Amino acid sequence: MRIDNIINNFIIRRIFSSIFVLFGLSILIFVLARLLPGDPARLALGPRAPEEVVEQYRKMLHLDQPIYIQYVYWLYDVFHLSLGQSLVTFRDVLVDIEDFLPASMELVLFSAMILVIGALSLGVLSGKRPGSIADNLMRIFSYIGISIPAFVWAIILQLIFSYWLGIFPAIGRISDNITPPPKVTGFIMIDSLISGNIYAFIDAVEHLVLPALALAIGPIAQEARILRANLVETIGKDYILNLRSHGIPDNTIYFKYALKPSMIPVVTIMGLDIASLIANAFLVELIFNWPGLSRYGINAMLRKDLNAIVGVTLVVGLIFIIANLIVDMIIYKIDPRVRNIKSE
Amino acid sequence: MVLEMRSQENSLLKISDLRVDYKSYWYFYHVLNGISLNLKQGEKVGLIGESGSGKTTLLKSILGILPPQGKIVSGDIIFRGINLTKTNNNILKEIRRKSIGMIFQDPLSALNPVFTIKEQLFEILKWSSEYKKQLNEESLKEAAYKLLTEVSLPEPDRILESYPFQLSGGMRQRVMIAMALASARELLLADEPTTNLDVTIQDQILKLINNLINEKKLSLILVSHALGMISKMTDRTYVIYGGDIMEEAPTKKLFKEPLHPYTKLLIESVPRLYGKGIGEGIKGNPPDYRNPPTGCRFHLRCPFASEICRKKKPELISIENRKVSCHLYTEN
Repeated sequence: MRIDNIINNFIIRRIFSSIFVLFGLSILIFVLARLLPGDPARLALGPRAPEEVVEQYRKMLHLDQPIYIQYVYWLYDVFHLSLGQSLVTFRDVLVDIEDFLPASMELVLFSAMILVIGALSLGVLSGKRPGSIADNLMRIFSYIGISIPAFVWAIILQLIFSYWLGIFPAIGRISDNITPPPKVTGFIMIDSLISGNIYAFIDAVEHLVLPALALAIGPIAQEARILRANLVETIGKDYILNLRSHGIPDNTIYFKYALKPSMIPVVTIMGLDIASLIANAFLVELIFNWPGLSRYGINAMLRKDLNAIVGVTLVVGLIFIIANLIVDMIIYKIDPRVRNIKSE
Repeated sequence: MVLEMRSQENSLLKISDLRVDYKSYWYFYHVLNGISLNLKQGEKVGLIGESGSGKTTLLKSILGILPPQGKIVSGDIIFRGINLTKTNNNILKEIRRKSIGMIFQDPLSALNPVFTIKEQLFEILKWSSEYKKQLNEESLKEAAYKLLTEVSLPEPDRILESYPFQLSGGMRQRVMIAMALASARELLLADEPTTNLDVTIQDQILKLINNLINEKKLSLILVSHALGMISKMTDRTYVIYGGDIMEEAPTKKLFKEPLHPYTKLLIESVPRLYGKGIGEGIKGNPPDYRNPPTGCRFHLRCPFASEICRKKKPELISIENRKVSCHLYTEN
């Protein structure tokens, strides 16, 4: 009972502090976006729009006011569930994000799944017998994996698996000849299961594999390496030798008593890497013509779409905060030492 | 096999010419340089020498639990007629489970920080029990209570639910001893069991270990730099320096009349409450194991070193009922 209380308090505390982080981030991004050179109203309306119209548009966006007044207007909108009008789509930024985010999230979550499974199994496999063939292959893979960025992987995978081998589709979320399921969550995988359309489900998964893999390879290599290093260090520690001195089976020792302490640093980095997937997804989405947040975000940057820049950044920030929260909760669960500090 | 066992009748553990290397990325460390040691059933043997002389490595080699970078290069470790360096894994595991137990030097680092005492102790009990198949939570708990009572730990429930960092140093050491006892039915290896404790608790732990081995009729190998403790608890003592046995003698005799220059210096360097105050110590450092000194490994620090010490490793020779490895002495 007491432990539950502590967890609840801990989570509530974290959520509370997260609100402040988001608030600070919004101020920072809001100011930065407006400090960039260039006139957003002029960019939005084009070079041929008459000056009066541009002026009027500027007034509508409150761009003629001091920056802190602009921020107050923006904050007022936020409390009325609006992130302001996009200067590109002329719709509310929140509506735009609702449209584009699910595709990105589906990609990122699928990629995160591959990442977790891949990193853990490679790390464990390679740490089991340091210096073995499997270990050496993994280490070569991890050097390559870390040194090649995600968008290059995207092109390589596309080249091999769709142009040469033709196993997976090269672009898009779903094939043209398949009717997309009615939108419920915006995740085609889930929506197709809800509507019982198994063909759409398989097709959606096939479309996901390459971009998700392209995103996951780098982090997989990175974390498999860290996990391996931790495992190798841990199995030389006295608390493992102590268990060995009692004749406990090697696999029990490795998969239970060595893996758990070795996981702690990996979980932290994994959380950050998973959150970074959304940012890395920008280029990968372009390559795979994935209708996600990326094109929207990039257009926002290029065309100085103030509200969209702030909106997209806040979404990315929010994802980081949630990822950190989850990481903290997992570590809280597996590391009793952290639990002790927090409960004091 | 039977013949072999009969010929070893009185001997519980016989180590001969044991060599152990550690490997780092760049170097080989030649740590144990042909150690031989003999332990009779029920005997208590001490192992003294300064830090880094290979004492802990020797204990870990006996159980075959060297860290991955350590390796037994050659030599035999014969326990009850079974050669532990060559026997198959299952027999070795059975011996670790039911015959030999080890108390590690630092209980904080020898207890897994992210598992409760209960999880670790139950795991050990599960495998060391004679009746593994009949074990359930209740009987494990009973066995754990019994062990914790034997090491005089109050509130066993609280101890079992704790994580290592939540216990005091003395409590951790008692938990460590309880774990070792679970497996030690014949031989207890104690690696500086009191070094990390304060003086009053040191004495309690010492008495505890002494009572337990007498009660359970265990044989003991006790490693320590605390020479007082060695002289109180052991029948015979080996002096080890730089991975070599320097001298071996009945404990009383060794302290009264040390033969080897190293033993003399070691005993002299113990600080005393009365008299000379703080001793001289031994000048210099333990040998560099990457490139150990030729001949006698102690010659670089030995006040009596001569030409032959640099060239030839002295044999371990018998003088009366003791042995010494030094060119200053010749066999009877």
